[in-house]
Parts: sequence; C-alpha cells; structure tokens
Amino acid sequence: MRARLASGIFFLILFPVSRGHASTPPLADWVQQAAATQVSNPAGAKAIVLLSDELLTVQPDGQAKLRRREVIKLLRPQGREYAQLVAWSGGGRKLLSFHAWSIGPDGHQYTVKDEQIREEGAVADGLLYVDDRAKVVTPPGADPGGVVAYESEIQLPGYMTERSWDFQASIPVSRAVFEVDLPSGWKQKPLWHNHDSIQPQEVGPCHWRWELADIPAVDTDDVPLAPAEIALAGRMVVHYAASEITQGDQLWTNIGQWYDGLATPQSAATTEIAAKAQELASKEGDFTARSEKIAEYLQREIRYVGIEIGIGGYQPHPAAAVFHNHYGDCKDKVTLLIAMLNSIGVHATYVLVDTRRGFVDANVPSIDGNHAIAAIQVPDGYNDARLKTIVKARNGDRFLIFDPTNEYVPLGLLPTYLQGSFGTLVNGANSQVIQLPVTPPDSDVAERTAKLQLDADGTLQGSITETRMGASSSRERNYFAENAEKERREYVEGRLRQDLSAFQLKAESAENVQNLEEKFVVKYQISAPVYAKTAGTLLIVRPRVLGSDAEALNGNPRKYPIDLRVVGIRRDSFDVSVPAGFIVDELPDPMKIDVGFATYTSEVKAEQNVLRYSRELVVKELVLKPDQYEELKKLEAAITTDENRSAVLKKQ
Amino acid sequence: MKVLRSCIFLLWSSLLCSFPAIASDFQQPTPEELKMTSDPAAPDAAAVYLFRQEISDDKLHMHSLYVRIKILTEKGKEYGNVEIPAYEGRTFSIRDVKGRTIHSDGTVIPFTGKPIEKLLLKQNDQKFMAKVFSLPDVQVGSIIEYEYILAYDDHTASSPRWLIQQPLYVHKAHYHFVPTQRELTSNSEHGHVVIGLMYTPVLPPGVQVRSGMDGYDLTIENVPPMIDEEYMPPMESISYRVIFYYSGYHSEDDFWKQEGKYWSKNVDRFAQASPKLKAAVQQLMAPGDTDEQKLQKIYAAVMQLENTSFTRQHSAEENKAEGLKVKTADDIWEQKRGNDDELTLLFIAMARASGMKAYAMAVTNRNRSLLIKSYLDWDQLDDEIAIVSVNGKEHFFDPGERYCEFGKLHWKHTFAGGVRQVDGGTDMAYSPGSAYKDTLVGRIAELKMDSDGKLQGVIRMTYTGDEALRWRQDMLRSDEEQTKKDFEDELQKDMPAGVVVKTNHFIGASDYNHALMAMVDVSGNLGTATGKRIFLPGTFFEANAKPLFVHDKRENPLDLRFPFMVRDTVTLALPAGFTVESVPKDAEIPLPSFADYVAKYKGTETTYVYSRVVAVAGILYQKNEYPQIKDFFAKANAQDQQQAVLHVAAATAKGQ
Repeated sequence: MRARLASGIFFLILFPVSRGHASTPPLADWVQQAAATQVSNPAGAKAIVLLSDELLTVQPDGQAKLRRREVIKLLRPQGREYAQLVAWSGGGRKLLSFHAWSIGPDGHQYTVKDEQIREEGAVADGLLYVDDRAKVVTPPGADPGGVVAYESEIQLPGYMTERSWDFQASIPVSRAVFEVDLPSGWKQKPLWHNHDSIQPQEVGPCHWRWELADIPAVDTDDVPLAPAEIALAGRMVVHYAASEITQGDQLWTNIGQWYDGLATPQSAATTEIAAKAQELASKEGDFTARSEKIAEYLQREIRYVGIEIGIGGYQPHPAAAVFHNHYGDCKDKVTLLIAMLNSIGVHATYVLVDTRRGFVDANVPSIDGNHAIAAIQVPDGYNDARLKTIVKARNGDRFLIFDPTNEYVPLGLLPTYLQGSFGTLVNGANSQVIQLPVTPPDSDVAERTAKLQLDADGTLQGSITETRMGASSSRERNYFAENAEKERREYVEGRLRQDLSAFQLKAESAENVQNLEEKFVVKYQISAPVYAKTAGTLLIVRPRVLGSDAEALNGNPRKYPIDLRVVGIRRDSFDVSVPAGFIVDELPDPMKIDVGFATYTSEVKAEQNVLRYSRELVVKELVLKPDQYEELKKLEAAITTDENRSAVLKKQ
Repeated sequence: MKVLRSCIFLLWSSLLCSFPAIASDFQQPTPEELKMTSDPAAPDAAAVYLFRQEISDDKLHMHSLYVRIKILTEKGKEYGNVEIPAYEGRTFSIRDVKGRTIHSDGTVIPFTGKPIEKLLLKQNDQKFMAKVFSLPDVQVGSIIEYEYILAYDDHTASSPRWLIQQPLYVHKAHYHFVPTQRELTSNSEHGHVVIGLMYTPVLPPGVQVRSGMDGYDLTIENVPPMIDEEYMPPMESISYRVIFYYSGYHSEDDFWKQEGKYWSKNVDRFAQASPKLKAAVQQLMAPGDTDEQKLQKIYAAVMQLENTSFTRQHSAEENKAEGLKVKTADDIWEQKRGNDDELTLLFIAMARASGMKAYAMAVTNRNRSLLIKSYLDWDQLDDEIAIVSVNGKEHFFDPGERYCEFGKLHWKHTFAGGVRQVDGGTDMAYSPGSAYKDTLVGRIAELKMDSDGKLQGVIRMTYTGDEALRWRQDMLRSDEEQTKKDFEDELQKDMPAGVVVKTNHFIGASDYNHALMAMVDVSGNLGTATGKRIFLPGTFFEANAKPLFVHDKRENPLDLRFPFMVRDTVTLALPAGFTVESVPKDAEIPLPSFADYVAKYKGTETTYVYSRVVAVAGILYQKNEYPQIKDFFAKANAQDQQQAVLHVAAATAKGQ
C-alpha cells in the first residue's frame, strides 16, 4: 500500500471475525521451530514476532513472487489484535496462496481451513475506490501465550524492480530473514534506512540471505511530537535487475525516468485544456500571476476523488479525463496542472513524496511514497519574494514546489507535513532526489489580539481577533470553508472551552477563508462570567486569557527525533481593562528563554488601568534530535508556567 | 439464545418475472433551483435534498432510488461521490445506474462512466458488495441527480426500510412500496408462514403512511437533518423512519407473546436446574444460609468463571478440540467459561437449583438503541439479565457483566425496555434505573508542598457502581498494567499544570463486593508565584477540567448515562513561612431534584483543605432543559477554577 500515490490510509472494515477450524494436518516445521523459540518478554510488548521470513524469487522474465512467513506470539490480552492475519492482493499483486496455523496456550495445534478465511475489500481513507483486497483470518487459540502463523505467496507486479523489507514493526521482532533468489547473472543492491547495513550470505547461486535478530519495537504511543512510526522503522530496500544496478543519484534518476515514462504521456493537453489554461492565465501576467491562476483552478475546481485500479496506484488518469470529470487524486491533479501549465509555456513535472516526514530517505532511492505534488520550473532570472518553496536542481534549474491537492496552501508555500521531506523530482534524464523546502518562521504567523474589559464581579468581556498567515492556516481555512455556521461556532466554542468555564460566544465571523493571499481572520466577542477569581479584596486574573502554545511532554527518556510540525511565529497581545476601584497589586515577572531552535518571550505590563499581556514564540527548526528533548522540556515548562500565571488586582 | 431472523424471505413458488428497465426521467430543474445559493430552510447547509424518491416493488423484485441534491458549499461537493449501500451480492444486483450534474447556468454534464463494483466481504456463500461512482464536474451551485435499481431474484421478497431523516435537509421525499401478494415463508428459526405486512413508523406529528390498493405511499416535506451531538440518546431510535416487514403475526401482542414463548422455552431449556447444578449449588451453601446469602454465593461462583465476552469467544471447533460443548448451563459450569448471556443463564439455573424463583429478561442496550414495541423484531433485544425473587421481592442482577456488583446492573441495562419471563409466560417490561448512591467516587489526596513548590503525596481513589465496573472491565479486556496507564492518563488530564500522577496499584480489581481502590503517587510542582504570593488551584482533581457543555444550541435530548456522586477531600500541607492569605468562598450550586454541588474550603496556618461533593441524580433530559443543565456544569466548573492564595514570608519566597 505504501507504494500508492494517493495519501490514503488503508484499513479493513470490521466484519465479525470468523474462527478457524481445528484440523488434523500438522503445523509446518518452520512454525513449530519458531514457536519453540525461547524469548524474554520485552517490557510492555503486547506480542512478539518470533519469525518474519520473506523470500523474493525473480524469474528470468522479471516476474517476481514473494513468499512471506510470519509467526507471532501473543504476550498480553491486548496482543490479540496481532492475531488477525492478513494477506493483500490488488494494485497489480495477485495472491497465490494463504495458509494459517495456530498453537493455543495449552499447546493445542490448529490448521485453518480455506473456508474459514474471509476476503475483504480495502477501505482507503479519502479514496473512492481502490482494488486492494485482503484475505483475513483470526485463528483459534489467540490468547496470551498462544502463537499464530501464516504463509502467503504473492505474484508481484511485473513492472516492479525493487522490494522493501520492513523488518521493524510496532511489536518486537525476535528473528527476521529476507532472501532474494535471482536468475543467473542478475544483480541486487540493498539500501538501508534507520539501520546499519549488514552483509548478506550468498546461500546459493544468485541467492542472498539477510538475517536480523532482537529488533526492538517502534512504538510512539506515549511519545509526544513523534515522527510517523513508518519513518522511524528500519527497512531495507533491495533493487534487482538483469544488468548492473546504478547507485545513489543515478538510481534516483532511473526511478524518475521510469515514472516519467509512465505518467508524463498522461499529461498531454487537449485543445479544451489549452484553451482553459489560456483563458485563466492572461498573457499580461508574470510567471507568478499566471501560475497562480492555474494553481487556484486546480485547488478550487478539481475535486479530490481517488480511484485506483491496478497500476493506477502509480499511473495518473489522462489529463483529459480529469479535466472532463473535474475530479482526480493527487497525481491526477498534478497531471492536469502540468498539462495546463505546459499549455501556457511553463514547464512543470511531478515530485513523488510521502506525507510522513522522514519516510523518504535521500540515501535510499525508491519508488515508495504515498503522494504526488508538482514542481513548476521558474524562468531564469525571475524572482518573487512570495515564492518560498523554490528548490534548485543539480543542473541549475529552479523549481517551485506546489501541492495542488491541498486546497488551502497557496502557490509559493507548502503544506507543513511536506516541508523538509525528500522526494523524487521527475524530470527525464535530470530526475533526482530533492529536499522540499522548510519555509522561514516569518512566513507562518499566527496572532491573537484582544481588547477586553474586566468587571468588578470578575466578568470579562470584549472582542478577540485571530489572524493566521502561512501554510499552517490551511487547517482552519479548510474547517471554516467546509463547515456550516453551527459547526464554525462550535469550533470556536470548543477552543474557548479550553480556557474559560462559563462563557457566551457573541458575534463570530471569519474573513478571507478562501482568499489565500490574505490573512485568515476570525473575529468574535465573548462574555465570560467569573473569569477573574475573587479572594478577599483581591481579584486574581490570568493575563493569558486564551490560547495555548504549550506542548504536553513527559519525562520518559527520548530516543526518537522530535517533530515540531511547523516552523513559525505565534504572538498574543491581550489588553484587559482593570475595573474601576481596583489597582494592580502584583504582576508576573517578564519571561525570556532562548533554546536555539526556538525563543519565547512574555511580559505583562500595567499601563494606566490596562493590563497588557504580550508574548511571542518563534520556532526556527522543524525536526530536533532526541538529545534536544531536555531543552525542549525547559521551553515547554516555561511556556506552561507563563500560561498559568496570575496578576493580582487589589480593591482600593 | 436469539431467534435468528433475516429480511430475506423465500417465495414458496417461483415466478419468472421480466425486469422492466426504468427510463431515465430526471426532473427539469426550476430557475429558482438553479439560482439557489443558500437555503433559508437549512441555513448554512452543505447541501440539501431537493427531492428523494424510493420505490420498492416486491412484485417486480426491485427497489429504486432517485435523488436530486443541490450543492451549496465546498463541503457539499462530497455528495458527488456516491456509494450505493451494501447489498448481498448473490441475490441482489445493482442496475441502471444513471446520473448527471447540472450547473447553475443550466449546463448538463451526464455521468458517462461505469460504476465500480466493490467487494466488502466474501466468505463461503456470503458476498456483500457495494457500488461506487463519482458524478462529473460537481461545483458549488450544481444540482446532482442519480438513480439506480436494486434488483433481486424471483425467489426473494425484500421489504424496504424508509430512512426518512437523512444527514441533509430534505425538501420533499416520496416513498412507495408494493408488497408481494405471494405466500411467503420466513427463513427464521420457527419458519412461520407470513400472514401479513407490518410496518413501524417513526414520523413527525400529522404525517402518515397512506395504504391503498396500489400499495403504501408516503410523501413528506421539509424533513430536518439528523444532528449528531454528544450525550444524546441512540440516534437510531429517534430519527424518522418507516420499517416494513412481512410478518407471521397479526399484532404486537401476538408477536411478543409468541416470540417470547420461543425465547423463554430456550431459556428454560438452557437454564434448567439440573442435578449437576443442584449438586454444585449444594456444595456452595452452608447450613442456615438465607436466600440472599445463597444468591450471593451463586453470584460469586459465576463471577469467577471466564467471561468470554471480555476475553475471546471460542469457536465450536475449538471447544470440540478441548472436548467441550455448549448446550446447557451445565456445560458452562463444567468448562468454567461462557459468554455474557450464557453466564447470566447459568446464574438463573443455579438460583433455580437452589430453590429460588429466577427469571431471564432480554433487554435493548441503552447505549445502542431504545426498544420500540410496535416494531416486531426480536433482534432489538441485545443482552440478557436476571431477575430473582428473594423473600418475595424481585431483584435484578447482571452476572453477564463480569465484576458488576451484586444487585446492580451495568448502566446500559438500566431503564432498558425488554421482555421478561414471568410465571406462566412472558411480559414486556423495563429494567430499573440506578440512583446516584449506586456509583460513588471518593477521591482523597494528602499532599505536601515544599518551599520550591515541589509537591509530593498520595491519592486514594475509591469507586463503586458503574465507575468501578468500567475500570475492572478495562482490566479484563487488556491487563492491569495497561489499565494503570489508562487510569493515570485520564486522571492527568484534569490535574493542575505541573503535577504528575502515577498509578501505584489497584486494590480489589476483582473484588466486586468492595469498592475498587486506586493508589496514586503524586509529584511535580504546584501553583504559580508572583513576588509575594503563590496561587494554588482551589481544587486539585478538577483544576484543569473543562466544562461539560459549552455549545449554545441543542437539537437532541440528553442522556448522561448513569447517576453518580463524587466526594473529594484534599489536604495540602504547606511549607514553613507560607500562610494562607485567602481561600475560595464556600459554594453550593443546586439543580433542584437533579443535581447538587457543594464545596468547602479552609486554610489554617499549616494546611489548605477543601472538600467537594457533586451529585448527579437525573440523567435523562429534554432538549428544552439543556440550558439549565449546561448552566449547572458551567457554574460547577467555574467554581472548580477558583484559586487559593498563599502569602510567602520574604525570607522564604523563591521563584517558581
């Protein structure tokens, strides 16, 4: 599934689980041997993979089969979820066989009969249809102490010349084996992600074997600001071919060229497409203006609808079909964008990426990814300060990176979940891996300002304005654009609930929801009884009236990188008028902390009869190393403290 | 123990019937419909149904759906993606799918693609399919139209379920059903001959289904959309709909009486007071035990068995491999495991074996649905509970809910409609509710703060009733380690900033006779400082809690699930040099007859102490009562956010 370019998350519909029948055929030897493995129960593990064994066999005609064996021991009651055994087909894959076995905690052995296996279609988040199907079974005896096992054989799509060995999982793996059996004279090239490379054994002519033991789980359940597990997990990508396999940059180029041949013919512009492009992009405009018009058209007018059948996981639909239907998935949108831009003399192409930052590894050339975006060639000598996402190719060409699937991040910016990732620039012989830009802090700014009046009884009322500019505003823009007044109001109420006990949300309005060139603005008025707390003759006020910039961290040792999600600036400026008859008795001290990757300043002033709270958080880096966690904790502790501090007003 | 039913009925005689193609007869949009940019009837709606028509003809073996939807916002464009709901793929098929998009300028873009058949599930002789397609060029302002036919074979009759209330506002809808005239037999367990067509309407006042020679017909206008809200009763039970079904019964009373008889017979067959159970019960008893003591011992014995509804259901094959079978309560007792209903029936059997009168009751779980008596479908009933007469008084028990306290019910089984056994037959009945005293939560914190604001202490939490049951069953589904983490995660959410809680251990995790106790260690920092004062949250357990309800508007009734009472006592020992400058004012927030909140605070030279009691006795409210419920919880939350102020002697004040 990972190889599909449609941002879809695939899962099975939960139909009632059928149970396997007890049967007389004995378990396969490899199941028995693996089940007999003595393993210590790693702390907290729900289950453990005793054996993961894959054999990739390639025929001289390039057709490949993958035999996969897995033996899993359940360790805790909640480990039963790992007893659901699944074998996928679809997307050009054909499931040739699927067998399952189990051994109950009491030692009873079961062989699952074919009729106990059910078949389910995949449900892909965001896709209307995908042809993936799964054979699924939960064998008997799936209790703590029990062992489940399966073997599947899959015919892989004929066009594939690489295979990813995903040896690290969300539960520990005791032993993982991967073998490649190639025709005589064929070559293989293994590449490692998040693991030191190990040498294979050549166990036969053109037959190599890699083996790993005691692989810890990748588990981010209790890890704040964790990267995606799939990006953290170790894997090996092996390329195979009848001829010498290129390395590094050249291998990326080959991958790009392969995709170019598959996709670029689909981007041919019809007369109608060309006419529409010319209508949208007036000749008078400059590069940005003309590209913007077409980008907006793709964002606004072409509905996201994913339909993937066979090679359709990779190959886009023809631009003409996308234009006619006014819908398509990510690669379809890029295809029509290319067709339209080409029609006005602007060269554009595909960039194959993954929305899980860190998954695509510049040192591991591979077609694997789940999303396609666009690279638009910027004319020589052309500069526009609004275009923050330009990358320079090795040959000196400059490309503006743009994601037409995200309807609320304009040309010149890039969704935060893509920033800093790597991707394949598909550009014929000039194809290469590129790193997607991380936009500077001042291109992503969120500000809250408030003018509020505090009454002697503690009621706070007044107006609040929130403005957002930059890629991270896309979430709110999207919500406000796509939801009715009731939902929008409830959204604001839900956020106020985080900081106020009782409140009334009065007038609420939003501006520039879809005008991506302008700041997105939400304005509202509130009345919050008992906001300030009475203590004798004192009124205790929290100057940070609403909104939080704090992240909930924990004290666990940090071993994974820290993904801060966005580089940007957050500012608050709240003025609270002190009620008549009260004076400011005490104020929190100013706060300033600089941890290198971020700075935080905050102060409360009393001016005339107004409490003025202001603060600024500047995040300068997107991803931190694990050893920066302590600094991050200091920063977050300071922010949390600041957010909860009080000012004291005293009755005169 | 359930009677198996199906909506598919087999015709006694087959009749080949040619299937008429439905000519595409899309309606012409009016100029007003084309120009429409919003809908005063459904302000801000993403889209509205202009028209929706479902025609079902059991003589022609077909259902058809035709819809016209006006797209009003960006979000509404998603209605251009159509998934025809699941159908059984061997008996049913989808045909004649047609569709088109009409832009606001009147341009028509026909759907020329082919719907894609999508496998949902295939196993043995079952195959469930869906069909999907996407309409072309759907824009804000477009009208989309589509229609299709669900056809089924000549041996099948299929009555419709008109789901009148939709996620979108419906301007006008037309439903029509022509039932078959053929003699039918149900494929249910009892194989009744169908003697008539029944239907259950849940409709707005004044709206009725018209029946005549041409079948059943309903035209309805201005149907509000279904609104999903937190703490609402099960939507399935309150949305407008009409459910048709062929039935072997003349009336409600006949149905519930006869089906109840079948069910009761099965219950009695399973829960017979066999010699084996009598012997088992005999062994449990001591001479002189009262009936209540006997029942407690039986209940305890059943509670000790593995409840596979919380672990894993074992297949018949698995049981066979272990030499086990499940035919009666004897087998459950023998194998020491059973599912929730089997264990309930075992309890009934053992109570009977001890000489007591015991009855089963099948209930509709309140967390899923509400029983509709006029809907003649036994599958409305989910679970079984037990009723035992002790000293002439009936008591309800829930032995299928492992670790449910003796004499209490899981909240989903309270206020639940169902069918119960009575002497000589069955009756419709309701299970009792619970009182706030049935679910008590006690939270006692003993804390000590040092001059740096560092906090240490312990929390003792005690739970009874539904709260105890929730955590005990959480441990059954996972394990104690996981529950410790889940428990502290839930507690942590409402803790003051800087305070860290860690579950040390539970006491009485499986002892449902006593309160469940959780011991929790507290560390971290408490309070925020200015130059001369430290501010403490007035409450500890609710310092970071959010108000339960914040939205101004409410469309549905409220269901708070179960009544409860929470009692907090917190003692904070202060460091030397710190004195209490002020504490929040004592408060009482009443919601007469339904709920109450009382908080008292006290500062001494060395401690800050508060106690707080919240009791919620009423759980079901009409939507017009929402403002006062919201107000009660908002006021309680505001009181919980009060602060205590400590004064710091100059020599001891340190920055925090």
